[in-house]
Amino acid sequence: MPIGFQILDRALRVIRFLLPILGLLLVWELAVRTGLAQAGILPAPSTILARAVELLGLTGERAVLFGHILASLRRALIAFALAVAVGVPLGFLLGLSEEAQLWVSPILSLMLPLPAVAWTPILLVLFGPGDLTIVIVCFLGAVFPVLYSTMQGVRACGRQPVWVVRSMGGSGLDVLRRVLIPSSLPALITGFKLGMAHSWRTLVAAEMLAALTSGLGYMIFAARSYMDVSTMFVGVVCLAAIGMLIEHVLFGTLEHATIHRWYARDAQTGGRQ
Amino acid sequence: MGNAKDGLRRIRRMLGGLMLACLAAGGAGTAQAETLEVGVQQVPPDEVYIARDWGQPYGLEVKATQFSSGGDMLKAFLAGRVAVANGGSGRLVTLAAQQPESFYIIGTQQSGGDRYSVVVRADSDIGSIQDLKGRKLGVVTGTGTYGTFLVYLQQQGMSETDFQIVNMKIDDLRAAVEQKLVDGAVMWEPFVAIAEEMGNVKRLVSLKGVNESPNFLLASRSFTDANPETIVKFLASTIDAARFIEADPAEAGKLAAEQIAKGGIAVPAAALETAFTRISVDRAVTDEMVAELVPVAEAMKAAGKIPEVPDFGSFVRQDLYEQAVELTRSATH
Amino acid sequence: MTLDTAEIPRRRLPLPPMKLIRPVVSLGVLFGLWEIAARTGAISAFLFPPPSAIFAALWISAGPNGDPPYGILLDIALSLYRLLAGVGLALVLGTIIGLAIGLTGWGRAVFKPIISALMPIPTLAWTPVLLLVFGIDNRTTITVVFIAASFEIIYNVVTGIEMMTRKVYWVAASMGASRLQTLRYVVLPGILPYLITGLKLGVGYAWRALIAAEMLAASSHGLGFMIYDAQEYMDMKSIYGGILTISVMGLLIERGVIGALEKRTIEKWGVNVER
Repeated sequence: MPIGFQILDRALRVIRFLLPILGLLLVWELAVRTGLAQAGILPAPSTILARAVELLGLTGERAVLFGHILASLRRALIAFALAVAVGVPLGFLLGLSEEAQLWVSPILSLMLPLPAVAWTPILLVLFGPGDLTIVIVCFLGAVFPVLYSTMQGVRACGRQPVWVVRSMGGSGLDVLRRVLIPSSLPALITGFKLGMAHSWRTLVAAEMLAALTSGLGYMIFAARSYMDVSTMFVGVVCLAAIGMLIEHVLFGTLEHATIHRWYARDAQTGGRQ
Repeated sequence: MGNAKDGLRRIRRMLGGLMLACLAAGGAGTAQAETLEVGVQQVPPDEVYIARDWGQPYGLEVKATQFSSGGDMLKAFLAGRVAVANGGSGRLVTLAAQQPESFYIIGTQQSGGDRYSVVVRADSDIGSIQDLKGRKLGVVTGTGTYGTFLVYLQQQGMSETDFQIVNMKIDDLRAAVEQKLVDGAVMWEPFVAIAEEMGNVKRLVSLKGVNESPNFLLASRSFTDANPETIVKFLASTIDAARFIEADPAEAGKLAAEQIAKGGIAVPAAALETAFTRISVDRAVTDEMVAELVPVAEAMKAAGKIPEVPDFGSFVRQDLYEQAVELTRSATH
Repeated sequence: MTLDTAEIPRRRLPLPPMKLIRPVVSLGVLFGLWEIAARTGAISAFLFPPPSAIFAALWISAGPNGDPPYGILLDIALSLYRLLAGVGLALVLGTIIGLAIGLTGWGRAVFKPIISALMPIPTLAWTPVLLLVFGIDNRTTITVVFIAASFEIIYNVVTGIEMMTRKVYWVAASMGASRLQTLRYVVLPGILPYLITGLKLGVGYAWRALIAAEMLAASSHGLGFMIYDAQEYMDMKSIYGGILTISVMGLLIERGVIGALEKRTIEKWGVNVER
């Protein structure tokens, strides 16, 4: 197809995708303007946008929103980094030793149906509200996906490549570098994606429960307290938008650069884990 | 001829006078800044307090930590992370009964029944509290507000069984009234003023005069014993802030709104101004206020929550307050 | 004639399978160490009460002497009720929407963008909005459960439809099946394994989201609220007890109930779900 048609085709597809979403927003806006929905409960999208612009500092008030977003992101990222630092080595260890895994598995299974936020009350008693509590909770939320994915990646690696490297005189370190890490990389990256997504999702709730004076969760609940609904919605939209960004864009590109380049078949990573 | 208590008071006064002389000498602004860790809540009088450096005329550097709940603040207070906090009603009674050696009552943070109201929808035809009989009433049980409301009902010859009491959080009460989930709600300032300002709610009854329901300023006992001058300076700073609020509620409202806006939340300054006209921030502790803690304690003792009714008077440090008043007079001419 | 005792074959005691021993032993060791450490003072018994105390507190709360009486049973019942209501709704609506997306052109055009846009939104981000609209009501928590479960069900139903080969449609058409008959006899059985997988995953997410939502909503009872409230009074035993209950309940629901469902359907039919 000539390049002109390709662009047009692409543009049409984007429009067709956005149309229902825009339609929904329009219905929402009309519902508020006609009084069907109360503005004190559900502000119009235009009001939310205006408030977001205010909070970003684009019309005079200080850029408060950035501060809150940064605080939230910082906590989620630190928690994610910790989860990787702990989860990957532990995952390798457990993945390599079948026995160890079978013994630890019951304990891990008991933790699975528990949301990470459930640990917040204990941490609140131990450390009080604040960054430490939130980071620990998000760490707990992120570490399990990372751990499980790493374990699966290690186990999926066949024995033969290991034998080949060893037969060529490779040491344990060589096995690690040349066999285990490359072969478990797709699973690791999946684990990272899940871990970061879980870290952010856990942050949403943890901040609402344990934040002191900064963060999107704090902003949402403080605004709710003072009945500043438009600010509250700005916070919710930011939480949602950043969550979407993390899950779609951030790791989509990373996958493209690594997995899709090295592997002929598509790595079906499956839905929203 | 007084009893031992009077004698003690006189000795304290003399020592205080001596201290005051030193303070006044140093408090002219040349004294080195002492620091004090203070816990405050997300309420308008505290917002005004942290918005300006009220300790500066006394050479006091105040490090304020804002807590979103009174419970968190008191936990930090007990853990020693802050030396000053505030509390009232049930929480204060529990503290007095279980950890009496941990604090003194040095002043009053908020008081006045006018800061509690019963609200209904602006367009409702409910004209008096009797009209609400049998209807749904949203409250926050366990708070000083609810306690005062119960006393009010008693005075009116009613009881809480006359209504369908629905327990909620303060954040949800306004929306619940608006959405007709409840017919009325018992709320406290500034939420009443903000809800009124938002337009959908009107004040049915003010609980002014029912009682004072004080929220007291608490200071760590160990810290106060070691650094009484610092506490006096703190009290002086908060007295100044209180006088500012009383003298010009409009300015105070604006200041508080600006402070809150720093966190990204927009609160109408006019609402805060109204709230300030209804809250009493007089820092003095009166005997009547202290006496109000007794029925609360008695109820808790009957429920088995505390072993004995504490002697609340023994916690009060009037001497520090009096010195603070003197200090404010000498510092500001 | 006497029997030589050495000749009597010794019966070996049947050991329970390792599959059961391992969890019991490993958890037993964990709790055992904890108990010892707490009782000897190696760790603070206030912050980490010994498991025996935790179980004792749970036992009391489940009985008439609890505060409130049968407290934990009420909390469990309420949480379960919310889960069932929300998942039930999600199952019905999710399947319908999934079918609409998978089978009809207009369904795909209208719903797919909206679902794709809404799915990556953290489930709990909806909670403040719901609190505003419904207040502290069961409807808030049930809606959260619904949101958590329905996305998973929709996604799986759509995947199920996409995974089915065209040949079955041809077979049905060649036998003169109407659209409705195709739906009933071809599509629905075809997506059943995926639906059940979606249900299993959805219930897992829904349970976790429910607990978190209960903690956020506060003062509406349920397991989530119970552990959050206990923190206000520094009642560590209740917190740990609640966490344990949440874990066990979650496991029972996921493995027990849905596992049983899976056994009777998917495993029996030998169908494997590509995930």
